[in-house]
Amino acid sequence: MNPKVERIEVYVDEGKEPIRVLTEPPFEVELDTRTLPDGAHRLRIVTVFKDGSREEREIPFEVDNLPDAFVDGIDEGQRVRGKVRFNVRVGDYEKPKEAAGVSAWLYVLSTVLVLILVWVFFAVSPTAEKVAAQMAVGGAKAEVEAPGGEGGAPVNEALFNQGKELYAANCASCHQADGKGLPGVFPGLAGSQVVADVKAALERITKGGNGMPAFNQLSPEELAAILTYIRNDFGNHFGGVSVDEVQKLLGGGGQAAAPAADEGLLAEGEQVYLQNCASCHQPDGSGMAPMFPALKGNANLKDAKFVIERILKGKGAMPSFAQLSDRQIAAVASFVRAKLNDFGPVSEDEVKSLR
Amino acid sequence: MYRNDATGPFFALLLAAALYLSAYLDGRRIAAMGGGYEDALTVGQIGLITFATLFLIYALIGFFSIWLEGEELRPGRHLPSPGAAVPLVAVLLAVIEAALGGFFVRLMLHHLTVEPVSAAAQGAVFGAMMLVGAVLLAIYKKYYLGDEVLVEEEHSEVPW
Repeated sequence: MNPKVERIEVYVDEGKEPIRVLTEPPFEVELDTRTLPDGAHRLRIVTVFKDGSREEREIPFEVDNLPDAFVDGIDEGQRVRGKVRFNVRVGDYEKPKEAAGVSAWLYVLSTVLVLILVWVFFAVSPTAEKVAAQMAVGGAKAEVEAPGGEGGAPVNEALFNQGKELYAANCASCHQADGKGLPGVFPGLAGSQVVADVKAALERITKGGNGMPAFNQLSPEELAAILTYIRNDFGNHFGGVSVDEVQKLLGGGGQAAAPAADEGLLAEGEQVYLQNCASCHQPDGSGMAPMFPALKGNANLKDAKFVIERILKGKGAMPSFAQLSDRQIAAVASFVRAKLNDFGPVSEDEVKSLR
Repeated sequence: MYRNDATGPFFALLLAAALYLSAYLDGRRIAAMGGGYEDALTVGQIGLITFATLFLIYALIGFFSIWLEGEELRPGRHLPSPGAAVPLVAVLLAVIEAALGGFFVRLMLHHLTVEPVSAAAQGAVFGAMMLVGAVLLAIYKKYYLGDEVLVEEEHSEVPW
């Protein structure tokens, strides 16, 4: 307590006598409002100091011990006629309050129950199963198949079996025996968009691309067999491919016709280069130092033998491209030597002699 | 420093968008070179996407801090005051989360017992699940957890 204070007097309304006089802690006052009539009142706290001075503080408050009547059936200002019946209700402040609404536990339990039901519905309902089936590879495959409308082509069983053997010998090492490939490295063939499109699949096999080497040594019959197999196994149902269809797509003569002029060889070389070499050496031959050397302005390319051997055998990070035909190697070697540099072209015979 | 600055996250977001775009354009170019089909992501694309995601996460953390704490941190205790809409949104999100969880189990069972489901579909459902979970956690942190910002002396004993 402040040492200057002598006592604290507590008054209610205009009372002359204080209801409490406080001289030492605790300064706790209990006021029974039931002794006061309902309505406005004021509390006066008078602090008397040792030097005789006084300080007064007023706190107005309202007592409401008796509840108002609630009239049900007639409103204020309402126009009425004849007999009017209404109810008068008076509450009881002493009565303990009843808990309104649901308890927190019930709320939590019902929420958990609803969540469990939702979970179970989505985990076991046939509708969810249907949606899952749509999202499965088979479902996606059906969507791929639809635009082409070629799911109905008959499958030649002999070609299919031949294709199975050829697939095991040529393709399974990368795309795997089950056609699932190796994620991130070798693409799967199940539901593949490329496999669904005969022309795209044929081009990919014969010309390679996207990391895959060209398999242009295969005959039209072998190509048709592989296409028939990969389009109708691994869960695929894209339909068969005939030898005629493959020949037609290849341009009648199986492989591309031999170009007569050097320009034709260079054009073919450019194609081979873009499909097999450009991903590392870049389309303009600038390479990506230090991993992939530039071919443009590269003095090493002056030696035709060096170029052909490097293509045939590879070295370091560069793989062998021996699967390319002599003509293709001659074409691409001519392209990198004559187009990207000022060296002469390379003939098929030179390639054949070094193979 | 008692500030959550938006400059860093903004530029990180910009950089992330540019890197994602580069990865996309790289893919388009490779697809064009490969006859119009793109089989798988290349190492270059994975690198670009990794850094883009790194910057995206940095930006998201920055913007999330600004959303939670405001741009200026005011010392003192900050008690949350969720309105009536917050529990409603939270319950709705919880229902979506439960639905996604149940469906993910169905998808996995389908994948293991019936036929393979593409990794992209599995990832999409699981990603959506994680995203809704993250939003639920963010709502809990923002509207149901109190926070306190402490003040340190300018020249405190800690050298940094």
